Parts: sequence; structure tokens; C-alpha cells
Amino acid sequence: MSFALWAMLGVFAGIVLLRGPIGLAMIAGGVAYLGASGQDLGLAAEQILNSLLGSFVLIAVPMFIFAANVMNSGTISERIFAFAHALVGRFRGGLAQVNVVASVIFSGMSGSAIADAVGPGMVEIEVMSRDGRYPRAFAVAVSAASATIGPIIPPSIPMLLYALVSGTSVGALFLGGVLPGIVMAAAMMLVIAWVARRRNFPVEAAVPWRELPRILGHSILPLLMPVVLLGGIYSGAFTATEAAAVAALYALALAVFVYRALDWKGLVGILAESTRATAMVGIIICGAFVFNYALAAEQVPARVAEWFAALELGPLGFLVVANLVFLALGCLLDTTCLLLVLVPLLVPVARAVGVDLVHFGVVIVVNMMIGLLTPPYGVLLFVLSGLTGTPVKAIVRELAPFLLALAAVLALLVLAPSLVLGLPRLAGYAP
Amino acid sequence: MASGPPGAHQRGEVVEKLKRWADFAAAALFSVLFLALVVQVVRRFVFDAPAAWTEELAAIAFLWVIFWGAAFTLPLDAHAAVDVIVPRFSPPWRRVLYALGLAGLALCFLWMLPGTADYLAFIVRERTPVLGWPLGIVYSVFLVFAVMVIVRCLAGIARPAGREPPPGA
Repeated sequence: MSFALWAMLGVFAGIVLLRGPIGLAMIAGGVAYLGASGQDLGLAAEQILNSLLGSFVLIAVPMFIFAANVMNSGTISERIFAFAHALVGRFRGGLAQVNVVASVIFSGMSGSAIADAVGPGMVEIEVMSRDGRYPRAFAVAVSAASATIGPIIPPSIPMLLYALVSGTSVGALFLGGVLPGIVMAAAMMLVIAWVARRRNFPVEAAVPWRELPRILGHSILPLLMPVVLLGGIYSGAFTATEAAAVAALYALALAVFVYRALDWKGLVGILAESTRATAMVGIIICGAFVFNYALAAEQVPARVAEWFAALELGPLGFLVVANLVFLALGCLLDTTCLLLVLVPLLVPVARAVGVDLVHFGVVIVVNMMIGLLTPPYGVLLFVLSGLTGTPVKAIVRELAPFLLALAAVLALLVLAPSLVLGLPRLAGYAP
Repeated sequence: MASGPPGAHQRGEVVEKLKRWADFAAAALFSVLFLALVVQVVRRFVFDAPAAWTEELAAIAFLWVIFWGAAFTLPLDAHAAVDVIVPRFSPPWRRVLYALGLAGLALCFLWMLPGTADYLAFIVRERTPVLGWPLGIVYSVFLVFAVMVIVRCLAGIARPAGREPPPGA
């Protein structure tokens, strides 16, 4: 490694360890690299600006953020909750099961785990811990764990980022996430059933089945969103970015005209909030562009490929090693940063050892979702701990069985590629 | 703030007003991004007449949303950050460590400014392919962002004691 590359990593690590912002620290590291290697410092701006202007697929990110914010502002979270309650509230630990089912439904409209946690996740924590029915830390843990389904069932912001760096089809990745998302939900519901029996969690009064059509009628419009979205992308009618805009428009129409839950002032607030969230992700994306420029200039991708080639791994061995590496890094680093900087280093290796890139993408995104829950750097832990005042340690203790379940699902996805690739193949995907 | 110097109250009001305007501008930029994409979809499906300018306008608005948003609506504490080492120290040390990180950040961005300005001057005559807008102006928001990062770092270093960001925020 050259001195300039060390300078980049040193500046980045130094600022991050001193609690500096990650995205800005990446840009600063890139500046240090350019300076130490005697290059023009204007290259940082050039790389960032030209890459941003040329990545049309990235514009789907703000649209999915906007759609989720609109959903969260209206009464849509409550409607989904009522529907999920009618379905699974009747079982032991019913409210915890409702939490998971509501997350599955919300996943079809939102591409971000954080949006799922702060929207329906918070609604469910409130309901679950009312009158002390469930320990608060358990309620928070269920919301945090189930929020990870958000980016697995389409739409998905992390999968969009993966599509950008790997050149795979967004549509194939989105479809590839459907079954894994359902398997994740099933695994969590099993955990809840087990914990509920052991700790004697309460049963809710069952909503009569004849009420179901009425409740479904109240929530059918939000439930149709994934159909619009996936149908649009898969029929070739929309690009992913256009589909994201249509999804946002659909959410807006529901909130403003159908449910009348959003006024002018609320809308301005949501737009400003969406700008803030976009800027936060956008700055990390910018940092990744600068980092990648430096890594490419130093031929790091070629070295990583050589290193992996020397290990002589088969497809399975490669997937196991890659997953262990990302599980470890997921405890320390930000998902966007990992997806845009380190995953691209492994994509050519995956292709070389014969791993399907859609399979690899979905598996890696599931892996990153586990990273959102693992300390010391687990964004979902921070967000929910901050919002509910529950200590991170208490949440992590309640999370343990869910983490094991998610790890088991990850192993299953590695071993059974058809679980990921089945649906995309049915829709005509061929690598 | 009872202990603030005279005038601090008015200054606070001015800052609040500026923040509101920055939010309003951010909302307007985001609306442009959203509407450009909506027009793109409508033109293609309703009128069967796609236009290239919508995609370019959306891309430019996206750029402005990111850098305007980061410059004027996103406090440094709101960015994603890792809180592993700093909380292990006593509050006065925390302040010093946090300030050191910000100082490093500010120095790097300061170092980048002249090169960035040169680059913008260099491309000032170039224009975007469809709308024909001067690229130097389209990209200028990056320079504004870089300057604001430095300003925010300095403000963070000079922050009065007892106003550290909460741990794990």
C-alpha cells in the first residue's frame, strides 16, 4: 500500500474514531489521498459531482425516502397495524406477532429499515408497552428486528446501491428479496412464539373473522402499492427511479386526497425532512465516490481479486468468507459505506468463482441488515434507543434470539440460492 | 439562555428565521426533484412524448438537494457517526477529542477549497447537455457546502461547554 492510501485511511479512521461524521470523514480522507499523492485537489469535487450527475438510478433513493415519510405522516401506519392485528393478534404474544406482520406489509412500501423503525415500529412499541403488557426493551427489540425486513422485501434502498455498483438488474434484485423477506418474518415469528410461551406473554381479544373484509377495505389502498411498484418495474413500463417517483406520488395521493391526513404545512415539513435524510445518505455516497477513485487508482480491486484467487475458494467457500467478513465489518461500519466501497471489490471475485450476482446481492443486503442491529455501530439500536429512552444494552439482550434467527436465515440463503433466484427466474431473469 | 451575552437572544431569533428559510428552500428543491420525475412519467405514459430535460433537471435537483441539505439543514451531530471511543472519557476530555476530530475535518475541507474553486472556474464555460445550463453554476453548490462544513466545524469547536451532542445520537 502506498503512503497516500495510508494517509487516506488514517485521516478517515482518525476523524471517525473522534466521533466525526462518517460521510464527511470519507471526503476528508479522499482529500488527504489526493494531497499526499500530489494530485490536483479539485479532483475530489470533479469525481463527486460528475458521478452524482451520471447516476440516474440513485435518484430513486430520495423518492423512496419521501414515500416512506409520507406514509409515516398519514394514518397509513395505523391502518396497516389494524389489518395485521386482525390477522395475528389472537395468538400468544399477539402484539409482537402483529409487529412483525405490520413490518412485512410496510416493507412493500418502504425501502429503508430506519423508516420502518421510526414509523410503524414506534407505533407498535407504544401499543406493546402500554399498561406494561410487554417489557419495553422486548418491544423495542421486536421493532428493531422486524424493521430489517424493510429493505429485503422490495422496494429497497440498499439493493439500489448494490445494483449501481454491480450492474445487476434492480427488478431482479427486488424480486429476489421477496421470499427471503418472508422467510425472515417467519423465523422471527417462531422466535416470538417460543419466547411468548416461555415468558407467558398476553393474548389479545381476537378480532372476529367476519370483521376482516371491513378492515381489509380500510387498508387495501396502501397494500396495493407494492403491486404498482413491482408491476411497473417488471413490465418494463418504468425505470426504478420512475417507479420510485410513482410510489411517492401514490403515497401522497392517499395521504392528501383519500385519508386527508396531510395539510400544506405538514407537506413542507415532510419535504424538508426528506431533504435532510437524502443529504445524510448522499454525503456518504459522495465519500464513497472519492474513496473508490483512490482505491481504483491504487489498483486495490485487482489485489483483492488476486488475494481471493490465491485462496482457491469455490462459490460456497467464497460466500461463507464474504459473509463472515461483512458480519464483522457490519458491527463497525455504515451500510451505505460498505455497500459502495467494499462490496464492489468483491463483485468481480463473486463473478469469477461463479456466484450469481443477484444471489450475492440479496445475501449481502440481508447480512448488512444484521449489521444494523449489532453493537457498537448498529444504526437501528441508536435510533430506537434515542427515541424510546431504552438503553442499548437492554435492547441487545432482548435481541439475542432474533439475531440468531436472522443468522440462521442468512446461512439458509447462502446454502439455497433458489430461495433468492426462484422468483426472478420465474419472471424471466437469466444471468 | 439567561447567562448569554446581551444580543444573544436576538441573534438566536435571526438564526431560527434563517433555519426556517433554509428548510423552505430545501423543501422547494425537493419539490423540483419530485415534480421533474412526475412530469417525466406523465409525458411518457399520457402523451407518449418523453423529454430529455426532465431527467437532467431531476439529476441537477438531486445534486442541490444533497449539498444544500447538507450545508444548511443538517447539523454535524445529525450525520451518521460512530460513538465507540469518545464516551469512555470524562466530559472535558470528550469535548477536546470531539473538537480535535472537527479540526481535522475542517483542515481537510479548507485544503480542498482552492482546488475546488479552480475546478469550478475551469468548467464555467461548459454547459449541461440538454438544458444548456452553465455547469460552473450547477456545481457551485458544492463549494457552498464545503465552506459551510468548515463553518459548522468551527462552530462545533467553539460550542459553549455543556452543550456536547448527546451520546449515541
